[in-house]
Amino acid sequence: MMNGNKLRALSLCGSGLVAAAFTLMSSPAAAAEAADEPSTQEQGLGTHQKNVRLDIGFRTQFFKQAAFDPFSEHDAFHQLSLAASWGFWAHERLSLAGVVGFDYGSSSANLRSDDASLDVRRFLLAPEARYHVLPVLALTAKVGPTLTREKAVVSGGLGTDLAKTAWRFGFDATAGVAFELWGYANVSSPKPRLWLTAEGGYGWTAANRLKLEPNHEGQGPQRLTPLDLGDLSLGGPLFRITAALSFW
Amino acid sequence: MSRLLVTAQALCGLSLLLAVGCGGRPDAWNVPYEAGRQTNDDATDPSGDLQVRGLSGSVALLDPSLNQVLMFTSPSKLELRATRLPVGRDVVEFSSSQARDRLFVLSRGVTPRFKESDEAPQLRVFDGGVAPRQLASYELQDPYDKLELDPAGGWLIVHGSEGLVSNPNELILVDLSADAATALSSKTLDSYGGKPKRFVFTSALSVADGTRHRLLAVEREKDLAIIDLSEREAPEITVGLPQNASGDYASPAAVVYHDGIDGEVHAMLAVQLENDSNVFLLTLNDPTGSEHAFSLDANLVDVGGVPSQLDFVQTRKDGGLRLAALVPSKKAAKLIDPGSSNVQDVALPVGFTQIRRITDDVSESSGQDIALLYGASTNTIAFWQLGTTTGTPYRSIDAYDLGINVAQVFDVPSAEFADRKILSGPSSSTNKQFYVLDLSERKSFPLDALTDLTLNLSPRGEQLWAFKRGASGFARLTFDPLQPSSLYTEKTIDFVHDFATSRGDDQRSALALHVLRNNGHDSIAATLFDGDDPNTAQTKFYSGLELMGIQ
Repeated sequence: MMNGNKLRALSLCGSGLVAAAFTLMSSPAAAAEAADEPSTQEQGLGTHQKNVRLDIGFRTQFFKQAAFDPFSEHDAFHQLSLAASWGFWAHERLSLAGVVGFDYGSSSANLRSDDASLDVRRFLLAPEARYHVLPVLALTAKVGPTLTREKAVVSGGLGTDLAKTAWRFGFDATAGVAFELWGYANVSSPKPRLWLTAEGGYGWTAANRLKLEPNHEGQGPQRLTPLDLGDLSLGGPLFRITAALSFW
Repeated sequence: MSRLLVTAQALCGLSLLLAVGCGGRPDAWNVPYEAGRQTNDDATDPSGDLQVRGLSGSVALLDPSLNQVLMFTSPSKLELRATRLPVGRDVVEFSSSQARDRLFVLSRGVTPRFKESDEAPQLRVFDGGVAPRQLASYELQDPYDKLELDPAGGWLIVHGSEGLVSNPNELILVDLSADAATALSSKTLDSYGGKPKRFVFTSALSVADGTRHRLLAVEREKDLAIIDLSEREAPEITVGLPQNASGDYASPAAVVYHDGIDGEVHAMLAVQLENDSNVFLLTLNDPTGSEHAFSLDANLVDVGGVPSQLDFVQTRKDGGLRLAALVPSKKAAKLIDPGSSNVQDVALPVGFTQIRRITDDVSESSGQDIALLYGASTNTIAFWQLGTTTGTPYRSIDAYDLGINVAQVFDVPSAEFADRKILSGPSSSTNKQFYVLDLSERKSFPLDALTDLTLNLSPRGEQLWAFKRGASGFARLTFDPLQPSSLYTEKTIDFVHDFATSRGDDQRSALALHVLRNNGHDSIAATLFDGDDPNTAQTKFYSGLELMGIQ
């Protein structure tokens, strides 16, 4: 299980990755590629649009709900964000991709004398519209359903953990930009291209009543009343920054 | 490229910022729970040193880290709800009224108080019923650390300031029946070197003009200060105590009072003196000036030995008032006629040290008082029926031997079972028994216990809970029929109490409180029973109670 500190470290690593990509972009070779842009426009956008892209980065979402407070000392929830997309259709500057995403994160905090942790795994399936302002710069937008697994655990004085695991539907609606940091100018080139994407929006997950019980029957006192931490609805503004590699 | 590098650096900065910040949670979640504890010398207090109070419709538990009280109520049997109410910082007194319908919390606030925004010392009063709420809050000028409760529930005394310079004779009188603006009055007692040791609230006593006044007797080292609670503006009356044989001033040991008997004697106070065979009688007579509604006339009576306890008794219906003084060294009681100061000897079978009038608790009252005599150094109790028969100044003394020495006598707070008394031994006793005494039948029922138990009578008075802190078993005893039943919990017990649910006084829940250790801190859990028909197989267990109500 990945705790909040690890996620934070991962976020920083993500930032480092992004910075490294920018540094790479500043190399003479990359500058040469950028100088060729006028000729590529004449040839269409090719693998700038139609490609398979793999993203890795981080997602941060902000939860103001009181039911999130037991699990985190602040409202920001950080997740590792993975995605794969297939740009399957293009018409002039507009293209369409199918996206499969997976976000993973956890948070833990002291709950007075107890310890509490929340583990969240979210799956996304969504179409993404991409509009290329430039061959190397696309505006993106996507809306899609999510399926989220939430596991809340409280370790207290009972000698056994109280937990609840639930799956909840929801949605993500985001818009952003994708910037090609590095790639061959030749629009037909099947070689990998490096992208930086940034997007923001809103994510929502259906409410989950956090009534925590022992993991296994027979653990804990008889007729234990579940520990009720309220309705947790993981909804709030989010942003995601990823580095991506596309190829065809 | 430099623009891109700047962008990259900005993104890094943004991610750092978001990693640490943007909003937070209530500080309460970050504060570990530590159960509030205070020194408690009262062996009869079922709370022990834990700052928990069993009330008529709730259980109040102090959450000192958050300066709040958790009031546990029960909407229906086996259901538990918590309400958090603020109590102020640095709580020094956490007490309930004798009727267990009020909770009083005295706090010192922020000391020293440098800023106007720093919390002031305060006294808060809470409703102990099924709908907990704050009834009153009084801001105090200085931090105090002592609270004296009027058994009748009308008054509180706040005292014991611990400032750099403090006056122990400064008292804050709190009239609980008045509105908050007029409830407080400060009283600084004249002093000749003494400071308050004990406080006695009298019942309403008749004075010369026919009005009835409640008095507060403040026992000090060498004198008594008598405050007329009905006329708080009037100065107190200071009564110097007599010198003893060695020339030192006597110290008060106890004060008892009586409203007097029309046509016989006026209302009076009697003062027991420490290590002194004299008893000091103070009669409320006609006033000698305009300042007070009465004057006090003193009379000193020697009872031939150091008395262990005093009480007023009546030897006939509507008359025959006597002050009874138990003199264990003489194995006798002395009956003092307050009118003539004549002393009559009553020989007792053993040297009883305690007397408890039980007249009103016995259904067939003949008008003469009946008293229960007992003592921590004897396993004999006696029923003393006052009155006169040929040759004796009493009707009868019926002695019974018990298996224990009786240190405490608990009243049952129920009209139905007023004729029952619970007799328990000294806390250091190795004899693990307590007795239920049926005054009407004059029967005593021994109840054996596996261990030395703490007793807690139900506020409704129909049952008694017996438990030992740190054990996981406890007992319930009903009075009709006199039937004990053993109950068990899965965690060790710190307190047991039953209280009314929101559905009425006749539907009750019983709560066994558990203070669990966790990560070096405390955590609170409870096992809830049906308060009317408890059964170990039909309970509900609640954990993480210290988390309840935090928003």
